[in-house]
Amino acid sequence: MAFLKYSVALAAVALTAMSSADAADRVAREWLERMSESLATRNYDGRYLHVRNSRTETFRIIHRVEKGKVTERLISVDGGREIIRNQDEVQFYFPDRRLVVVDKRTDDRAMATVPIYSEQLEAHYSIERGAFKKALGRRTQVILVQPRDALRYGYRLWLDDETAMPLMSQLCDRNGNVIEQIVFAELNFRERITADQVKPSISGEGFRWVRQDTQEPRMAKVPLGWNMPRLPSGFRITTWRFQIIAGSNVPVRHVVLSDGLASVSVFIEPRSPHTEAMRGLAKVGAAFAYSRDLDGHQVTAVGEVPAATVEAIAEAVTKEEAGLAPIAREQRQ
Amino acid sequence: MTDSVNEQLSACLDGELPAAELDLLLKRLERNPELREALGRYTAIGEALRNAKPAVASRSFADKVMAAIDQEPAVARRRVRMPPALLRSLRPVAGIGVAATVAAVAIFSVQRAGVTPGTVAANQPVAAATAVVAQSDDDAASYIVPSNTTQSAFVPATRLTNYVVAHSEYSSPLARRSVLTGVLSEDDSDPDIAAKDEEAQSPPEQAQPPASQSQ
Repeated sequence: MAFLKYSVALAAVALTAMSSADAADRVAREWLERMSESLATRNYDGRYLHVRNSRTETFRIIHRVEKGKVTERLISVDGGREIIRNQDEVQFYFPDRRLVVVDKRTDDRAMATVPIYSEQLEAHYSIERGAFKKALGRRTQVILVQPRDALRYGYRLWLDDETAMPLMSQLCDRNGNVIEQIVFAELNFRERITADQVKPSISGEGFRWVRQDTQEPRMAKVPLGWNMPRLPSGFRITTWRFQIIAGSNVPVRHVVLSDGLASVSVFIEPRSPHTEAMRGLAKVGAAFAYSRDLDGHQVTAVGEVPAATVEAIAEAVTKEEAGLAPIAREQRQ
Repeated sequence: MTDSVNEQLSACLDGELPAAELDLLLKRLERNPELREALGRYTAIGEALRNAKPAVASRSFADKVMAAIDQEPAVARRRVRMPPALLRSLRPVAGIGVAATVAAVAIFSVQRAGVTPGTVAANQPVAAATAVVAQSDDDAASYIVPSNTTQSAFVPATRLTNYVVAHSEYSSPLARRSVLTGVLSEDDSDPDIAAKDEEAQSPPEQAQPPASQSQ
């Protein structure tokens, strides 16, 4: 009895602690945590349909976990492109362009695996349970992650009752309009997936290979000489680093921002006189990009957020006068 | 398209298709772009209708719905649950148009972004964005309203793809899957990307080997 009282009191404290508008649906968040864990720790393969703009494409996914190390292979069935992603790097195979892009990873980013639940997140999204529904022949729990404003997108997720795997997921805007969705047509859990199964089917021989390297993240919040004083509501800088980006002659400053769920990258590089300045809005998949020219530098914000958000973030970047940098102790590069 | 395929499609989305049939359907999908497009319509329609039986909507039906939606005042439409999803499925550009018009930006490569300027829904997010500013006092001060830029220029797609590649590692797992799928995808933006890619990979870039050492 005492225990019960204690837990009730604890729950009450926990509820009060959540200062955000809605009483948070703890169970819904547990579902999301289970989902993250399932996505990261299970061996599975399957096929999903990616639906956007009333177009559907089929993809294969093979997810292997061996001794805690994850390797994932994504294959576009229609286009033949492939992505292999492991602890160290992500390889993109574009047979149609005879191109392979290898993007180095460093293994330090906790945020990449599990969404961080915080008041920050609750302030910008509501997380709720929807109905229990049958989807793809399974019982699923619908979880709604809804943005509280128009600066970010939300998700509608159909999580498998048994495994919490997302059998269907929709990226939605603030009004609930579906931007794109991923529907699993087939999903198999495997005891084991062999290393061969996550090897690319394309050798990449004779292709152009492009490597994008990265440095360890910097302790300082912003690169020396740069600042972002007026960011859109909820976005904060989480880290930055120098990164080699294919096509850029010098290492590029890569600043990462997050609102607790959505992330936006800002790339800053001196503009080469040989390349044309990038300006304005563009779209790559579900991500928007916004570029501007600032004091001889190319500033580009990229993220799976609405167009207005990447623009606001790119516009928030300022260049400090030499000597006025806020973080004076940072070493020169 | 035959009725049996129609039935298969909706059964697939209801999760009621036996494994063997699903396999067959997927194979057909892989071969048949028209079928894929149809599935795109179904998925959204099925979702819109929620528990109702997925409708087998003909194009003319879709057009009628769209016409009806177009005539509604935007404000009223925000409250309606089903039509926006339908709208989404039937005229996918609307949402993108929305976001883009808010920014009031000159959108270069309009076609590439799949944006149709001046969509009916243009005024919605403005209201939403304003609400944001009003709603949170703390953040209001630091909230920056996107300024208008009118210059338009061609953005080399390759560099953006490379940025997106670098960015994808910092996305949440769900967002990453969608970002990566976007990179793999042969979608509306890609034919252009591929074409411009060739131009973008000009000698200066190629001559510079991707250095692995960083300073």
